[in-house]
Amino acid sequence: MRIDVEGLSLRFRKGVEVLRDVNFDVRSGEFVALVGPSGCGKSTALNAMATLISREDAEITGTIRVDGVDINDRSDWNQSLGYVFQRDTLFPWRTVRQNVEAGLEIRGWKKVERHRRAQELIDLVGLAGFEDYFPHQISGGMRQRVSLIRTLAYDPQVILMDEPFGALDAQTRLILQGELIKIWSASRKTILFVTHDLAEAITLAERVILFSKRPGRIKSICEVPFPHPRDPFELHGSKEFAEFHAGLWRTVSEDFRADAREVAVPS
Amino acid sequence: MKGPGFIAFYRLLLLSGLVLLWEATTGGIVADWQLFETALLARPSLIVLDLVDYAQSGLLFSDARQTLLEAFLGLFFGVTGGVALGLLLGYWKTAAAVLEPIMIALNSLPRITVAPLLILWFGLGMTSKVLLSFFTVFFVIFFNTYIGVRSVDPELVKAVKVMGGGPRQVARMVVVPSVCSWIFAALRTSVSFALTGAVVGEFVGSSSGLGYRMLLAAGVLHTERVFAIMLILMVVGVVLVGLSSRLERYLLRWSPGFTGM
Repeated sequence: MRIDVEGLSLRFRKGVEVLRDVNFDVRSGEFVALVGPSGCGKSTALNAMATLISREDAEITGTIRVDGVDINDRSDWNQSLGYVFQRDTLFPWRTVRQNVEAGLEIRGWKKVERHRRAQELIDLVGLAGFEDYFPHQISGGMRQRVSLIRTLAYDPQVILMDEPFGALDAQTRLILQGELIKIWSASRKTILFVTHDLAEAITLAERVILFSKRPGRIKSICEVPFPHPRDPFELHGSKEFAEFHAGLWRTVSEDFRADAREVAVPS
Repeated sequence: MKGPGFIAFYRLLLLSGLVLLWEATTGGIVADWQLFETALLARPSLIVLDLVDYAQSGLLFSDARQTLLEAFLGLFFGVTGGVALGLLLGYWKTAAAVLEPIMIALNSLPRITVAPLLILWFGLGMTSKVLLSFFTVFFVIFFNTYIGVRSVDPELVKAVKVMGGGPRQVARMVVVPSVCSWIFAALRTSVSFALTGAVVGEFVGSSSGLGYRMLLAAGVLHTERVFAIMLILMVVGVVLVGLSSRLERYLLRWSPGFTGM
């Protein structure tokens, strides 16, 4: 599925202007990252795309189209969408397996089919043996893996990810990035990945969209030259990665620094 | 710290020591050692004998059945009523806004104070005890259900929505399990509340039941009987609360408080 965002502006009723005239597109099967300083509105953009922001809370102008049709006119949009949250939103009262099966239950799958599909994915991310554990009994990395495969289970065409690895330690993060790349390479879903970490963005995405600080506008969009499938561990050690990262860093550092100044010297 | 066997041993030692001391000071070992009047502090050995008497007369069975039935009915209606109103007000914001302060006021009223009125309205029979028991349970369960609905994690609701779920799925996958956890957590307290409600109701006015028999015995200085009934109520309480906390532990095994599987 292809996504076109045109002239998207968003202002909360409380008065904060979060997004100003944002334009970008995500091609079908593409992996795109949205990067920007914290509070720049990138997560809000993602929430707007998932129709998680009600008109009562914010004034939204502009259009978001999926395969050419406005998302508000598509009744199937919620059915073809996957969303991975920053904090794992696993159901604490469901075991790993039951969590993975949640989306399938919503779609009315039979128990046997659900089981088979869940097991497939549990094996895929190395969680075999943990099927009957409850979320609080497994580590943060494992929980985020479960979140990821819970979304993959029902085979959504578009996956929106809001800093899904933000709460993990550096190593677990690289491992999960590698797994995500593998999964994406095999399935070629359309993925829109929000992060404040430039290195993470260029490790994963084919294209990076840089946001300015609030009100969020698009600063620049650039292609990431590394061929897929990538190995995050190898990539992070390479000279090309370091050079590309440094080049992009110069573009965004100004904004990040301005952000820091604001925090340091409140007006 | 010693092993569990040692702890159990010391516990038993302490208890038997206390009972022995109690027996001695009430003249059960050597008559000269008696410090307390047995009409005020009954002798343990006589309490046990009286308990046997009470059981053989058939009164123990009928009294206990009466009191437990009252407590059970009170618990049952208290839980169903509390859950129903809790869910209703949890979802219906306007009604909740109107009723919340009233419910809080009613909740702060010591429940026992309605007992005389209930006796006046419903007589000395079972109904007044069931109702008293109901009231003590109802508010606990109501507030837990109500807060349970209100404190449903909005992130989990979002998670169901982005998976394509509607309000029905939100209710089934998030609201019900989350509210149930609040209700289960209140169950143990409710069980002992229900029993208290039934016994106190019998104190205030009745013609049968453990509470009635206790009051009757105290009136004629039949102190052994008073202690015998206290012993029975303690055992019943321990069993019921033990059962409900095991049930709670099983139902809430997913909660971070419990690490076992």
